[in-house]
Amino acid sequence: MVNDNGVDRTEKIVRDLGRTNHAVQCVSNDGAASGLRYGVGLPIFGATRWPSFMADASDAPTDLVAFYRKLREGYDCVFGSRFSRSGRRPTRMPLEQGAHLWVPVRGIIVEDSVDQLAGRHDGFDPVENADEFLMAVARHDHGTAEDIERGKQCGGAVPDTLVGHRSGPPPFHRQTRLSTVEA
Amino acid sequence: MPLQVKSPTEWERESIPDMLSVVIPAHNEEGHIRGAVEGIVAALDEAKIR
Repeated sequence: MVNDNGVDRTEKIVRDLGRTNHAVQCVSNDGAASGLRYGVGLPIFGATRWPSFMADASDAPTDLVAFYRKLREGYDCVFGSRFSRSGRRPTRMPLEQGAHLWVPVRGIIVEDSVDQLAGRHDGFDPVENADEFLMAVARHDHGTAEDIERGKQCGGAVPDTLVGHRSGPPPFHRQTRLSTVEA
Repeated sequence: MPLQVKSPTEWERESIPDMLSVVIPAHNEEGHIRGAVEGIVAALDEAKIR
């Protein structure tokens, strides 16, 4: 867990959990920008694959297993199906508008179980079939591109599940920044 | 025993081709973090993912 400039008991709770399970570790992102939270955690916890997971219980842990198995198949990143509006994906990558700002990655959408946790929001339907695509990720988008680049540098791959929401519709602004290349 | 932090190459050298680390960024999540961590640990244990 990366304590992203929090001031409550989150870090203490995780450190207490780590006393009985040494696989549970905690680092602090004190003073750094929140966008660096993955950058703080990734190089410290050595691995070949790094799922990011929401801390607010909005992701289902069992989804992590399904996503991980897709990573083992060789995908660079895995997205939960709530990422997709009505099961559709964006189909264009704006290479003309500053390609240096984008990183192409090989991704796949896998149906997640978020709707079992928080209810399916209107307009966001499960994806019937897992679908592969090439995707451009904005370099400046919450460190996601940095995750992927760092993962590739280390010979691994990075999944991502979107996105925490405790009230109201989830913040889908990230999707609007993501586009795909026709595979 | 603390968690061993190694590069992927080091893991592979020890015949562990795949090592998973779950990164959980958290900002003031004391009401949820225990459940999130315990849920992840249980799910990975059940799937025998290390």
